[in-house]
Amino acid sequence: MKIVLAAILLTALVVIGSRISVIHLILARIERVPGVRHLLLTGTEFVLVGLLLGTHVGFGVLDGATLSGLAPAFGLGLAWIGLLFGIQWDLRRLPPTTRALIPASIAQAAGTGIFVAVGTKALLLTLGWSAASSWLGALSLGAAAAGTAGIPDSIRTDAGLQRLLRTVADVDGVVPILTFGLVCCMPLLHGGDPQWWVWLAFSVGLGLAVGLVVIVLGTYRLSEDDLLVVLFGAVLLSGGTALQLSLSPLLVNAIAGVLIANVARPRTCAAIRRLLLEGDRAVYILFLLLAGALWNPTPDSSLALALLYVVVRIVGKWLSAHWALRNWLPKEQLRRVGLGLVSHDGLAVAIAVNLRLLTDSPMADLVTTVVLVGVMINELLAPLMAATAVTAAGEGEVTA
Amino acid sequence: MKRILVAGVLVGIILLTQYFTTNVSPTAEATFIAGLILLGGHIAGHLLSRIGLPRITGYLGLGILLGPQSLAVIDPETATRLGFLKELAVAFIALAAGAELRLQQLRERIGTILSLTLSMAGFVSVSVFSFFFLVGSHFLPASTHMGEMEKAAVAVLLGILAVARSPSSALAVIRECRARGQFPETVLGVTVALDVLSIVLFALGLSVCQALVSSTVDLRFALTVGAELIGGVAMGLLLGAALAFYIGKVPGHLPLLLLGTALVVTHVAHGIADYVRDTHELPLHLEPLLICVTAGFTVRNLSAGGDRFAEAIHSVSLPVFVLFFCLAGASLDLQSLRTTWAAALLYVVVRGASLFGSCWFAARHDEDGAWYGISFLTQAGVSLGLALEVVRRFPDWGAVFATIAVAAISINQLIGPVAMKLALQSAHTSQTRS
Repeated sequence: MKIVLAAILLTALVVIGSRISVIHLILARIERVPGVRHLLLTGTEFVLVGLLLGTHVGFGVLDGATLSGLAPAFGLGLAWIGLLFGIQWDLRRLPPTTRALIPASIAQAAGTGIFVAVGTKALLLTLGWSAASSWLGALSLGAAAAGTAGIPDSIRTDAGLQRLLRTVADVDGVVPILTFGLVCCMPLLHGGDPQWWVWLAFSVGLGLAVGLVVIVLGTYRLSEDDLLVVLFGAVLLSGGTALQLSLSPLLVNAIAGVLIANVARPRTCAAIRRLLLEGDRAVYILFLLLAGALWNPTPDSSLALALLYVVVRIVGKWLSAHWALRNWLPKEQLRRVGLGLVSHDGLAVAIAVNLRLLTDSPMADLVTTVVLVGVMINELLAPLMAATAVTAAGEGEVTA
Repeated sequence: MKRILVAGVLVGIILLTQYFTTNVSPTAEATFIAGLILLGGHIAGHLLSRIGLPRITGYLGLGILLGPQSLAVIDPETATRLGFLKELAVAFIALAAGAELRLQQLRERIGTILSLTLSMAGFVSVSVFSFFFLVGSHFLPASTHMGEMEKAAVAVLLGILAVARSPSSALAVIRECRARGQFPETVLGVTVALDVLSIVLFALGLSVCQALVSSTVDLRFALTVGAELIGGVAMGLLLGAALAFYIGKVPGHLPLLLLGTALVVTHVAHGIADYVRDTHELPLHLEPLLICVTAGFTVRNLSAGGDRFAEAIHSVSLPVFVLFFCLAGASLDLQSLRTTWAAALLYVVVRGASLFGSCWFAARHDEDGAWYGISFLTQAGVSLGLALEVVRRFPDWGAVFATIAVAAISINQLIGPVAMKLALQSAHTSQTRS
């Protein structure tokens, strides 16, 4: 029976996939209706497809044995996202505006993270979770909430406020990666042996070692195929090692990426960046599918918590952006700038999956549910809010 | 020197991980091993290529080194878990092999391909059977406990097993050498044809063996294999048509789609086998390799997107090759060589000699006739699968056959790629760029 379902599903995916261009044509016709075009094809629909393929509520095509066999894909996805983030930090070529915006970007992300973490901690304690579990949940959700995906493509232009928002979104991923990296070093996941700073040193050391491996192998004149092998090897090795040591592959690979961006030969660095970007969408879709298959939607309170998480995060973004960007924008633009930073990024999904891989606890299930549902709701709301912020700034008529 | 430094860093990471591991999860370990295989395989392949050996030998060597019988970095449990990845790789490589077969070139070479295929299938199987039936039976382990009919059955199956090839190894060496021209195209065409033919011959051979040892003729198995072949080709054609349709409509993400296709084909083939066995007690097993070769061939030759398809496969094939051959190396049963080395060595020598003779005869008018023989030594996936089927069907003496087969396949897997690279570099109608 399962096989018949798998065959039907395969056929359906092929047919639906082949019709994507047709869907785009239809979308082009209906997108003039306000608010409609952002409700379709946001990317997070793959989480739902994964959920349907998984065993918890779906058809069980991606069952435990299959997921176990596909295990390297999880590490690959996490490490890929981390490396891609890190490799964009070529400090020698960072534009002056970006450099100047770093403190404000980090401040708004940290502000949001703290706001969400404090609220979550209080709520989880009230709901009867233990202190250790509530710390883990609060810090993970705080880290997940901090990042921003930037202005959605559908309303993107090159006007002033949008450029600023894009720069903030490019930079503020530092906060979730670093925060979750530190969470993974804390006694919550290691039982306090050895000390947290030893695990942090391992994270940094491992990132540097993997970066060094890529840099050294990159000094040879490698073909595109060979570079792909080295790249896949490096991300899988660092991802797997980090997971085995209960560390964050995101942080380890971000460190490796920064090292590669600043030390590797420009030709190697450019080739790696291109390969990472070429594979980014595919790896991300695969990652979302697997995240959906892994997702065990805890019932009852989790949906309410997810809705609460979305509201608290939006409020947090709104307040912290207002405060952090006060020296960058006039008052009339400041009022709504936070709405332009509501869009959730892939880092949030990555953090949830990372936690789920490190601990198979009810708290990990709860965090995964809250983040995945939160991301999906955000994907729907973010374009409308960003359009509001951009229109209020007087940057043309933007239809959401 | 720099690569050795990197190898040192990798060893350091292995030691660090083994000492401080706090989360012994299958996910983490499999990810770690996959990364180690890719980086280690890259280094091993390059080091061996500097002394003229094919990289695939480096991948296999690394697999043996890391495998359960050496350093045990890949323990049996992890090897089993990653076996899934190996099956996925086989299906993907079969798609790639199908994509390499171009109808126009095959038409031009059809005479040579047919004569080589039939000559090898006939001469090699008869030679190996005759040797083990007439001379070599006392080299078989536990031969004193076997009856004459059982020894004959083992000889029949060894003869047929000698026909099987390894399309994955052939394709890997051709890709590595970037070989073009009549010679590599003919070699690949013959390799795929012989692999399919070996499945048919094996089915018939098993029925003959059944008759030999139990005096009953069971044609059901032969009929099942007929259904397997027709079903496999039909599924491959359907899959090829679906892929061609998709490629024509949707741009982008093709490598991911193809990896996903390989995954689904493997799953569906195994699922159908389980279903038919449970409900009808029939050993029907649709071969993913046959399905994917047919699908790859269909897309490449019968659709407008054939070149895009081949490019997409090519763009991700090297990581798949490295993973596949390292895992194949890790799963080689070198222990079996200790007990069966004499029989295995004889099998390899007789098979090699008859291969060389039959190729020389079949392609005697071809300017590269002398090089065909050593291009067909490698054996792998399908051969191992056939050997395991014998154990399942004939539990009394199947293990004797399987032990010799596994040992001989291990030897052929190690020497085959080296010989093939030599042939590709030496043949007149082969242009290599490695």
